Amino acid sequence: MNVLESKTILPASLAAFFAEPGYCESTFFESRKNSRLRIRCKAAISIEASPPSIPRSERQFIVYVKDISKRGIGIVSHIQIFPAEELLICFQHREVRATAVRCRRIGDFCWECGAQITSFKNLEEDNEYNT
Amino acid sequence: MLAIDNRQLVAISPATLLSESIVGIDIYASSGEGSEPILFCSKENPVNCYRLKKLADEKIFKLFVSAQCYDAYQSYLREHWDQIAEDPGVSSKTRTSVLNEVVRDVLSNAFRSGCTDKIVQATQSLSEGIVKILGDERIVLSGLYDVLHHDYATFTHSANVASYVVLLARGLGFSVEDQNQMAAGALLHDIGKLSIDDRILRKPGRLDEFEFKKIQKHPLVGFQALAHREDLSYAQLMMVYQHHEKLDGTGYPVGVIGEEIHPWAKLCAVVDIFEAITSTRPYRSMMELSTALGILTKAAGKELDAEMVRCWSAITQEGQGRS
Repeated sequence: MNVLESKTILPASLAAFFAEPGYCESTFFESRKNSRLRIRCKAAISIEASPPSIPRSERQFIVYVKDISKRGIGIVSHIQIFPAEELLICFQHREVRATAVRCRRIGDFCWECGAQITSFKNLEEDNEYNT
Repeated sequence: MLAIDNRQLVAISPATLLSESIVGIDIYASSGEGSEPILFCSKENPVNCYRLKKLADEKIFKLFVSAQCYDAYQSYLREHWDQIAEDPGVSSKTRTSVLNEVVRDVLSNAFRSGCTDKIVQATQSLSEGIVKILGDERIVLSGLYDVLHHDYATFTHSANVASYVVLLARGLGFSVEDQNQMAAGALLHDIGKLSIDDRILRKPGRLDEFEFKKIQKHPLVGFQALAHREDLSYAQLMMVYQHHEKLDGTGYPVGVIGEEIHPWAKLCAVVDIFEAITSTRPYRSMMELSTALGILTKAAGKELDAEMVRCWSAITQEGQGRS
């Protein structure tokens, strides 16, 4: 999955973050209910549903995945993702369904999006877990 | 606070009364602060046109009705507003006054219900009336400004922004159909604020970080409340989602820049700021129009669309001295 090309243009700080391999400790001062695991990988995303009046021509592309928790996932994409859009994020052995809740512009072709996970599916065991 | 027989009185604009119509409630006049209110027109009599004219001659711009009868006054306005909107004999000041009262009334009721369906339905029916009345070329901003309320209720702000949006859209040459849709979008632009605690919205002092973050979420919350509706266009949704975005990317909630901001959202942003700074807020008094225009002009090109600010500036000055 990590050899796939993403159209996202990462700013220096994010490029340095994703250049390192593997997991990363989340910061001590995070005040979240469910602590985030900082992961650095790419995933294939499919925007499965959008609000009726949101025009969407590109629905499948590659994104960077920044962090994940029991209930949420943070991705970095090359296009803006709107809140309420339903996403299917595919990893090598796992699929995650999520609903976008916020998006912030980081730079040209770089948007950081937070989504709420609605279900996990482990592709090897074919088990699906709803959150 | 004025009162009669221990009943609290609420101010209304004489311009909203049609001469020779029966309002059905007692209407009072007051000659000034501290003076006892006197009966201007009793509930069974029609409003006398000579007495209305006398009020205008004496530059008395407020009459009063009892707070308990305010609902009856609002029903009177709703009943007469179509008639007023279409009557060429009615002055533009009366029309805008009635328009404003009806819009505030319907919107406040819809907002109070908290039901998105009701709110959207209300905005769609109001927007046509707004465009019909403000489509009259004789209506200028200064005349409109005089009859608007300038308090900090979300429904007052939304009603004022919708009127300003139509004036600016008219000035920029948008079609009547676009103006209709824009007015509805503007009435909805702050719907996300309905989820914010009134104690934060009305806090007289400086907001702390948590409160400020809560306020900054309102475009996102509004978008989420409306996104699934099929009766709203992309442009209208962007008025809700992007009206706090700035051309240089320093806005919120997304930080989009330049052309990424929808033109209708840019337009809404200009009049939204203008309305906010020319209204009384819990933490400051209202600014003079010239000061407000100075602030907009300073932001033009960097944060706000320069052409839209120029057009709004021209619209504001166009009406000076002939309201």
